[in-house]
Amino acid sequence: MRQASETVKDAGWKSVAWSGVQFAVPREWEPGRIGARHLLFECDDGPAMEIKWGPAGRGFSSRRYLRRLARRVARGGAVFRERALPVGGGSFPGPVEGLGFEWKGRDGGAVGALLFCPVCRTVSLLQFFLRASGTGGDRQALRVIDSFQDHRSDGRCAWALYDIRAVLPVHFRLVGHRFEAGLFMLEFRGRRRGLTLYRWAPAGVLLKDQTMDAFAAASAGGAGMDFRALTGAGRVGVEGVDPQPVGLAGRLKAVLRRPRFRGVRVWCVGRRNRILGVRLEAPQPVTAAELSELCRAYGMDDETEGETGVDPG
Amino acid sequence: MTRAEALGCIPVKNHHVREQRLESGELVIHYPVTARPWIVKVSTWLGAAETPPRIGKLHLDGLGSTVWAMLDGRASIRTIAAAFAREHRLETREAEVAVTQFVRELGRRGLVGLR
Repeated sequence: MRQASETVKDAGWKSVAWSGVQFAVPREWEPGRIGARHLLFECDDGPAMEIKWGPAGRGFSSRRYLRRLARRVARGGAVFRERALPVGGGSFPGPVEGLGFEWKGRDGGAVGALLFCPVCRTVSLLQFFLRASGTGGDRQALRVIDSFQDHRSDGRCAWALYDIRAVLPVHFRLVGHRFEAGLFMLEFRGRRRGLTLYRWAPAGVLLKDQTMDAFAAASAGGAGMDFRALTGAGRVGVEGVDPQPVGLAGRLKAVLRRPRFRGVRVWCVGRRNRILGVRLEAPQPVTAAELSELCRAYGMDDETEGETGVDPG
Repeated sequence: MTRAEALGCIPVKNHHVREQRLESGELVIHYPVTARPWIVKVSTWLGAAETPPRIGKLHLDGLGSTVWAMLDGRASIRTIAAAFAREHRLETREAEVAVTQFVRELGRRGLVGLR
């Protein structure tokens, strides 16, 4: 599918990336529901947009899928019809097959698009709900669809929601997430490793009465670790890694207990009043290089890869 | 009620609460806790004398104290959240969620009402 830019450099729009798909939405739209392959965006008027996606089975047909959707909508008393969506240049970007539709019921309606990418065989259903204010409408839908991509060519997967952004190797699969006021957490598993990305706010309040070491130990699963200070890119941070087991007894104990070695790095993004953290768990001791690579891939939404993380001082 | 309407509500403090500011700048709210009506009925039926409401205490942390101070009976939840977001450089939505949860918790304890 069409290659969208990594970050949307437009004041009124922002980038969203989740579980393989990536697109731009108006800045005032906020995620209302977040699922493994489902996002619902809301604005002040109520629901604004919904997207669901997943792998297409063998013999997938967009038209058959749309007929099924039409039947489901009709059961709810709404009127469904296919329609052309105003996409940039008159056709869907790249090799994508797309069908447009709209439905209207007593309590509302939506315009939408069913997109199927034959390259990665992902089918995506986008719906833009009709809102009371009637603002944007087709123009916003066009821009969202135009920016949409469902796979990348660099073997990585982007994650960007609210104010954080990460571009991780595809083998890290999301197994859990939390977006609470003050704490965001994304948990991944892959290749016998567990990766957790944290974002806390406001940093000024959280670090008022405790050191970064104490905070990392208590909040980033770094209990019992010895942390060392890091500086880089004008930031302060701490890093701790579980050491290699020493001696025969240590190694034997390690084998019997099947240990998980931790590597934790926590740093403060002062200008945004945020604290970011990365925790990696692996069967072997975590190396600084591996931790650094993951920290470089994780940052705030307005940072590029070179600006993220904190380098060992 | 839509999200916009909910954010437009104005939280108003209960007149019966008393504020105590600690040296740390944090607040302790003292508020009357009335017994549930069915407990009052049962104790009256059992012949117990009417007891005055006990005083509950709620210790607010720094963030809670800041928001509590913004409840002036004129500012809406949206205005309070925006000010809170500005002060702590938070995302608007995150601040709205934090302030809404806080006001809901205060409301559950009878410390504020909404108008």
